[in-house]
Amino acid sequence: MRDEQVVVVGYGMVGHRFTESLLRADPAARQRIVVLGEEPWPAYDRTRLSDCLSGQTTAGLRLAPQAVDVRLGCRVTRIDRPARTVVTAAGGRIRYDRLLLATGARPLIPPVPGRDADGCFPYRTLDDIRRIRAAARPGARGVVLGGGLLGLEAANALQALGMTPLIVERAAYPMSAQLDPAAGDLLARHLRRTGLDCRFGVTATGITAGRDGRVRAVTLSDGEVIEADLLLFAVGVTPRDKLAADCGLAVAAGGGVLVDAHARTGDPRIWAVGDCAAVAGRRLGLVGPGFAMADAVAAHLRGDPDDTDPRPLPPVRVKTLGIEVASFGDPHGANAVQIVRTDRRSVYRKLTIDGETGVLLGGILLGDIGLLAELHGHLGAGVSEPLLRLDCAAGRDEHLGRRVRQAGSSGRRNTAGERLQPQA
Amino acid sequence: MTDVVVVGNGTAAHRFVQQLAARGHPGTITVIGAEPTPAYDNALLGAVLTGSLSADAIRLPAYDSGVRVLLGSPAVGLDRHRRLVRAGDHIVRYDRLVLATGTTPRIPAGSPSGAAVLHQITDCARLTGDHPVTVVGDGALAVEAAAALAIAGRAVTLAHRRASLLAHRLGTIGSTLLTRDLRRSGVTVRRGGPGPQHGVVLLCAGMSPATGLAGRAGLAVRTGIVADDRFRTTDPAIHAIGGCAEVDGRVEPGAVAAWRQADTLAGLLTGSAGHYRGTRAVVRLRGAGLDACWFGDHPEPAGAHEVSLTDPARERYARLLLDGDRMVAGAMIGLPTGAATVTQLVDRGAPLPADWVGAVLGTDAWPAPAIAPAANPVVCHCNHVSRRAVADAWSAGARSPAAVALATRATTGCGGCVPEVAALVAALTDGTADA
Repeated sequence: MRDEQVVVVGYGMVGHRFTESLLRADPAARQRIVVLGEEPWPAYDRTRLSDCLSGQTTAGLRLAPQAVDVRLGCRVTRIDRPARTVVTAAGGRIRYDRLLLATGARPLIPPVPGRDADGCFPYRTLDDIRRIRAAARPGARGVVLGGGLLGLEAANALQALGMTPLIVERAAYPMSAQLDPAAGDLLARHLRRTGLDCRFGVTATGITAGRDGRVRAVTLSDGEVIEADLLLFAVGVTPRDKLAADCGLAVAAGGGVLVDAHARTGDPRIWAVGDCAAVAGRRLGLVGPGFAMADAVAAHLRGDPDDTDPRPLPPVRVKTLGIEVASFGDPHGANAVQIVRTDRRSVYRKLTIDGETGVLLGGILLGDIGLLAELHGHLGAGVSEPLLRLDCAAGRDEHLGRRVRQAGSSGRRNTAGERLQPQA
Repeated sequence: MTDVVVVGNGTAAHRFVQQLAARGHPGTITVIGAEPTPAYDNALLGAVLTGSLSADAIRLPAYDSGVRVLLGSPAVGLDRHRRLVRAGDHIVRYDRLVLATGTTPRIPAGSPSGAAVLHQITDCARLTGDHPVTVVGDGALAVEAAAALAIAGRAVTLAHRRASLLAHRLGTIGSTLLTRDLRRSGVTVRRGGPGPQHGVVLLCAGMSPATGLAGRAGLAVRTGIVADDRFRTTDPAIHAIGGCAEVDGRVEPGAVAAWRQADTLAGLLTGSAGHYRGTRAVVRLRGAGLDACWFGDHPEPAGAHEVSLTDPARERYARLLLDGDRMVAGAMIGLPTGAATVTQLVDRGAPLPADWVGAVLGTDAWPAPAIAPAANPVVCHCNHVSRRAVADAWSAGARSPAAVALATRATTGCGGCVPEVAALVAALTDGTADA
């Protein structure tokens, strides 16, 4: 693999991360990497888009420049697998020995009548941010469709612009992918206390424009009509998997390039990572797992042995709402044992545990996430006293101490190649 | 000499009289009982109904020989000025009067005429037999009666009015589990009124404090006979205890509260200082595959924090409301050992131990986990940096958190791992961790 040409399609956060990982271990590799980015600007931190609305320049979001052949504004239209070549819109042909697809996803615009009105924007790219900034008026009402992570971020952004945001969410509570009803209810109450108006359990059924073509109001499924001077779509994204589908690679039923746990497609020379990929059919939609996948592919290309131990996904962690929220593993666990400690106002901690084995399946932390590192480290392992108490003071000190003592025993293997576990 | 007269011959009265005598009360003690039978434990009427206990078996111990007992003499009036009680053919004089008249069954509007209640020993005869029974009610009494009758082989229907059975006490989950248990015991559970009936309707719609005598005598009455934390009614010579009393604003049903109140008043009347602080009693439903308990004020005190364990697969649930480490309210179902532990702690006013999960699960805890946490966990999630990567960077010369950050990118994301990275670097440096 040492002299092979690696082509990266997509120069978002995950494409950037992959390149960085590859270069870190082997700076000489920069001569063999070609990055093809569709957007006219280099990779930027999409998770901090809202900073651009409160004074940050777009240049400030740029990720570290990389000394490789990066071609911006370059859209790949076709992958010619037999010829091991990608074809660009301008007619260029770039040969690859290894191909990494990091084409990301595009915002989902729900099929609501009237969605083409002026003042309605998706919330995903720098371009979107520029148009939102131009259209915003302080004191005016901004409606956000979607109360998940993206929607909350968009609402936060509107607040930064001096607008009055209102969130419309289909589920009964915000961040329904990461939270349970009780935590979601606490979060909703907190959001309302911070001045964020919310409507749960409803969807938008119509967008009304004035005679000037600008959005004026949104009608909800329960009949309520809400005044709107600006509207943001933040209900989700669809993976950009057409390149893969067109060249015969398998695509998941729900969208996304189908890959295994090592990001491999059906073609041994092609990988897919980030928002465009569906790992074993599941789309992750978060940058953390995307980074993990990018690192794994880079390690493989460097010649490192594949990591046989499937790492748990990193936790989802949010700090932008004036309250800390973290969720990890599977916090829903319909038939699992659920252990909760909450002050029923602004702090909520929950563990989901397999009732037979005592193995930690997931958790939710709201308001005080001091136990996050300890708990996440126990995913897939047994969890017992004193962590089970979910009492911050007791859990953290004891476990921080214990983990520090274990710091050195870092997965040595015995002669049979089996990983040695330290005594807990 | 203080002549003490007690109106009532139930749980509270009996306990009070026994305690008063035991503490060497120097004056006379007279008990006026409306029922012709000697004092018995009415909490055990269900067992008499189903035949597991005889009527004699639930009798309470006989009073001391010095206690004067008037049976079959319902008190009909008080003369507070002359301190007289009129009961049956008797007129009894008191220095201190203790009202322990208990409760009467609530008969909701629209109840079928001729419906039975289970309140006194004489009610049992109406209910024994083979005929099906429709129990009407929402609370503990209704559930227990239905479960007991089902165990005794009767065809039982439990008709409840509220949306979910005891949801206000057990929560939605607890209510679902309880209903499932009842059905498994053979009780037909349905929502609604008695409906077309076969057999007997048994009303278990709750109990109301028996305040008629007090009210007619001009004592203050709200839900119960109004009494302060020394059980004094608005007449300082008259006290009220047990199910008929509203002590310091609260009516406390159940035997445990009755005993505590009786003990406290007996102490006060024999020279002890102090006052009554209220009883937190645990209501426990058992039998017929049921194991549910709850305690605490309803509605719940605001500001309390909550711990809970929900195990739908094993049909277990516990929820405890805490003020610090003191339990102020809670409900448990399917956790017999834990319920026993919690009951003891609540009765003693003791704190919930820090290991509350262990206390709640008792001996039913799941086996000690066999799988240890991963050896090389991720320390910095934003940048996906493992503990080994930090240790490797340290070995290669990065001896400070800042140097580690430069080498690995750890701590340069959200900053949440800063304490852990700092602790790890410190441990590697002073040798408490191996590189």
